[in-house]
Amino acid sequence: MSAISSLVPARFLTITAHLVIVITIFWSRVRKKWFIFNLISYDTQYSSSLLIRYFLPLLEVCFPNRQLSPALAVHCSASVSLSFFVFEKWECWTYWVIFATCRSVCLCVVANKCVISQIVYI
Amino acid sequence: MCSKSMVSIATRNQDMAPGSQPVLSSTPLQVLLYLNSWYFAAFYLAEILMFIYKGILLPYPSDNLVLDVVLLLLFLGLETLRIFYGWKGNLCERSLSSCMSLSILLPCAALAVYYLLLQTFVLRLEFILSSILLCFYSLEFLLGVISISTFSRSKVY
Repeated sequence: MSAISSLVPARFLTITAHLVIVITIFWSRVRKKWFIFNLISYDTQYSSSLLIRYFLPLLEVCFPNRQLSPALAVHCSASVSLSFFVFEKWECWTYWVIFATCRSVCLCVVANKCVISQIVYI
Repeated sequence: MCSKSMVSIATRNQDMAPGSQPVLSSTPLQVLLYLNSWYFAAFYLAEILMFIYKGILLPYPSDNLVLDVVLLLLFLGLETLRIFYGWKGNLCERSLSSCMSLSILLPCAALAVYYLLLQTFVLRLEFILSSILLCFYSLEFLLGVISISTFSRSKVY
């Protein structure tokens, strides 16, 4: 019981850390436009990334969360690697690599859960 | 009069266990208080680390540094009291403790605004963390007012 009750604030704090680091990166992009978005034009990439950023977590929240720990680990690794991205001044394309890796792992977990729950309900 | 009270008792009876009082405590408020205590712990740790960073790297006047650190200590005490009273008032369904928690919320919000805008050097991280804290405060204020009205109404028969 104690492990489960400590898992909830851990997940909350990890998601908050992820949110804070993403907001920080977008903020610095406002100051220096070349920081992330020097590859494709400004508007399309900005809107698409915002859409992805805010739509996919909603999708994640909508599904019932039975297994908390995989999503927790993915959020944690994403926030750690994004902080490396900020501090070590990595190249801009690494942001998309981090994003794609973590998001695909997370979606795999969610899809797996859905399939499992469907099988259980059937 | 009698039929009215009977009707209200009957409607209350629908969502409670037989032979027990209806539960008036607000679950969203309790969740918010729980998450707020964890969030504030992380916020406080980050603030301490950022003050060390600012004290080392930036040309901080010593008077301002002392003021900010003392206000940070005050913030810890006020927030602990607020969460304690809010927790107790919500779980014991006491409107007095909830009112106490709401009245302590005002200086806490003022301190959060101080760390958001008015302190000597505002880092970007501090700005984001304080604004998240203010989001917590506004939600808790709303839910606290609603729960106090619920507790007070239930005492009038």
